This record gives sequence, C-alpha cells and structure tokens, in this order.
Amino acid sequence: MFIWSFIVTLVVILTYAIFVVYAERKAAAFVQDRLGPVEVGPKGILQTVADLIKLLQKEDIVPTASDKILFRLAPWLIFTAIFWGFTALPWVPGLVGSNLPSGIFMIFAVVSLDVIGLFMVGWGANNKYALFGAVRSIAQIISYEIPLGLCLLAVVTFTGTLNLQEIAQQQSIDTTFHSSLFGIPGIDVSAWGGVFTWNIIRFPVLLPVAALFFIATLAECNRAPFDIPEAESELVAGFHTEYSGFRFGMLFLSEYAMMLLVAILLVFLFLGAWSSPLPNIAGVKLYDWTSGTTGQLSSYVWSIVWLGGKTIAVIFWQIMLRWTFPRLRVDQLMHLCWKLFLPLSMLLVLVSAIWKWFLIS
Amino acid sequence: MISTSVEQYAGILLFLMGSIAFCLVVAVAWHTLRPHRPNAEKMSSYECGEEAEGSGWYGFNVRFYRIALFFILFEVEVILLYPWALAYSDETSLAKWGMEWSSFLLAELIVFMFLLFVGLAYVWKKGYLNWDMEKPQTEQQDSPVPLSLYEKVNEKYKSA
Repeated sequence: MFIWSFIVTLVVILTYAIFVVYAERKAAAFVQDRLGPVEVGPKGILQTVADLIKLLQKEDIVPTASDKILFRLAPWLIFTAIFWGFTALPWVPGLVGSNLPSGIFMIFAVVSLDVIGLFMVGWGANNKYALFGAVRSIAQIISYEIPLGLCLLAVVTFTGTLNLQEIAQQQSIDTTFHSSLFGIPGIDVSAWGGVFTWNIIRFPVLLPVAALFFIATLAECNRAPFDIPEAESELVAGFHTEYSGFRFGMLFLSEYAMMLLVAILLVFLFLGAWSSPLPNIAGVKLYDWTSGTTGQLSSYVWSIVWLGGKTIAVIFWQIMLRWTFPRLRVDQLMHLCWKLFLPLSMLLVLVSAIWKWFLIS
Repeated sequence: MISTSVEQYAGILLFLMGSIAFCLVVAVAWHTLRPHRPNAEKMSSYECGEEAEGSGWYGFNVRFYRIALFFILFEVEVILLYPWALAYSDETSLAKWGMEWSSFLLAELIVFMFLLFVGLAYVWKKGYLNWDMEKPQTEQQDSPVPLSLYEKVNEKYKSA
C-alpha cells in the first residue's frame, strides 16, 4: 500500500517533470511568438529527455572555494524535503503515502525544510550571486509562508479536518457534510454535488482565500512574478549559479515538483479534489454519470481524470502567469506580503470563523 | 477513515527513505556516466568571467534577520491556531456544549487575532516592514547644461 503510493508518486513526479518542462517551453514560445523546441522528436516532444541525458553526462563541478559538504549535499536535501511533502497527498481515493489526521500540517512542516537546503546552496557555493539569491529566496519563502498558513487555516476552519482525503470526501456527493447554496443556509445542495459542493463555491469567502493561496504558493515556488531569487538579469541564476550536471537537475526537478505539490493542494482545498464539476440538477444526473460507481474501477478512472485535469489547469495557469507579468522588485514583494497579504489573510480567517459560527448555529 | 495508528508513520518513513534511495540511484548513475577532468580554471568561482573578488561569504543586510524574526513570531502563532480550528468544529464538544462551545472559541479567536494584529501594527508603525532601498545616486555630470534644466524637462513631461 505505502509502497504503491511511493512508486506512483515517483513515477508521476518524473513523467510530470518531463512533460511540464516541455509544456512550459512551448507555452513560453507561444506567448513570445516563437516556435520553442522543435528538433528532438516530433514537435520537439523529446527535448526534455534529451536535456535529462545531457545533464547526466555533465561533469560535476565543485568550486574550490566552496564549502564542499554543504554544496554537494544541498540539492539532494531540497529534493528530499519536497518529495517528502507528497507523503500526505492522496492520488486516488485510498492511495496515499500516509493517511495521517494531520495531513496538510505535515506537508506544510516538511516542505519548509527546503529553506535549509536553499541556505546550504547559497552559503556552500561561496559565490556572491548564490548567496544573494539564497538569502532573497529564504526571505521570500518564509514571508509568504505566513499568509499561506493563514489561508490553510481559513479552509480548515470550514472543513474541521486536516486530512486531505477527508477534505476531498467532503467535497464529493458521498458525504454527511452539509452544504447549502453559496454558504447561505436555505437551499440545500448536498445532493447536487459538482461545483456547488466545491469549497470555493460552497463557502464563497474562500474565493479570495484561494486567490491569496495561489499567489503565495507562486512566491513559495520562486515562480515569476516572484522570481527575484533567480532573476537572470541581475543575479545570473541566483542560488544555483555554481551548479552543473545532475545537481542542477535536482534543483530544477524540485522546483517543478513543488509546483505540482501546490497545484494539487489548491485543487484539494478549493476546487473539489477528484469530484466531478458537473452537478446533479433536476433529474439530469451529470455528477453521477461523470463519477463512476464508488469503489469500482470506473470511479478511480474518473477521479484520476478530474484530479489530473484540474491540476493541469492550475499548472497551466502558473505557467501562463510566468510569461505574462513582469517581475516584482524586492521591496514591492515584501510590501505585498507583509502589508497587504498578512492583514488580509488575518481578516479572511476571522470572516471564515464568523461565517462558520453562523453555519453551526 | 482516518487512522492514527503507528502504521501511518511508516508511510512517512518510507517516503523519506525512498527519496533518499532515489537520490542515491541518480547520484550513482551520474557518477558512472560523467567525465571527471577538473582543472583550476574550471573549479574557480563564477563571477561573470572575471577573477572572483574576495570571498562570497558576505555578511548580509540586517533586514533579513528582521524578516526571519517576524517570521518566527507570526508563524508560531499561526501554528497555534490549527488545533483551534480543529476544536472549532469538533462534533463531540459541539454536541456536549452546543453553541456555548463555538461562541467561546470564536471569542478566543477574536482575542488572539487582535493580539496578533497589535503585533503587526507595532512592527508596521516602527517601520520594520519597510524595505528601504537606497536612492540611486545621480552623478555630477561635466556638462554645460545645468541639472535644473533637466529637472524642468522631467517636470514638464512627468507621466500622469
């Protein structure tokens, strides 16, 4: 059971990384009116595989001036921290690395370890660009972790559980969790399912929370428009300036794995996890048709389709944002986090709690 | 559905060991495939092709420490709120005390958030959240055109 979950996680991350790097390059090319990779394989689809093979054959360059142990160890530590975060993520109903009651909390705690890895990268490389990149990156990640934690808290206020499987279950039709239309007691939509029981629609206060969560996770992944830690135009490559070969590959892989992790988390917390978006209304059982029979193979296939589809949509969104917005300046970044997101997310937690109070009463 | 048994922690351990094992496999594969021909030039630190100036182990700006300090303060408080959120919709307590339970917890949250906000307001007021940027220095130009003329032009075409 755990073994299967582990194998699935590893295979998903690796295949995902290969395709998303290709997709990102193609999307970038599309936005900038270029062709993108076209040489390797039909339409360049094997470009990432070729890159991977190239990285495996690259010489290992450890600068003489660097702190050898920190420099060598750091990329593996970052990857381990992020991979570890996948433990509490279920892939289909029942297939999860660890069905802990404290699922989200565990992910949150474990993924934070990657900050230590980043600092090892920056300090170990003994390079000014790497140090500046790492320090900026850490400042950014730890700052945005607070609004992120508060956003998760707003969701947990409503769900009353930290376990992702339970959160997914609550948003399906097969649950005792009561939901009313747009969170206003009145019309009972528990039997409708579909988008009406997604957290984001069922409790509309979670809509701004989801937006905050998405932006904060972009900053956590060091994705544009929050990519000042690796701002090419000023810091060369930021914290991975000195890296080559597969150590660089590992840093790259962890970055994309982190994107996947936060995209799946967003889907689980706000967008109904693996349940179908189509509701059952007035005898038209769209939800039932697109969900399969619980426990049967069909239900697993449908949950993979919906979870996968939603996750890909979120990742596509992340990619398009990267090529749409200009990079924030460091003071704007900190201003946005501490003076806007933090008070706003505190307010949203309060509103969520008060809303929940009315729902209980 | 949720199991609190020790078994679930085995999954966590397995993921940790598994990712370490994966890293080892990749590292060994890379080690066997890669060339190894180091020389002094190759192993020097990168600094845009120039000889590296001194060490990269700089002291960095104190504002980063400040951010780290605030992070610890706020993060610890946020973490304390998670058990609160679980207790807020705890069904056995709700059944036992009813609305008293949720009203009490809501009041608790409001007090807690107020204290958190006071902390935020304090550091905000003190200016610790400002990320002071150095103003770009305009160098004195050896030009017959006086600077005030430029400023006049800037003023005239100032974008809205």
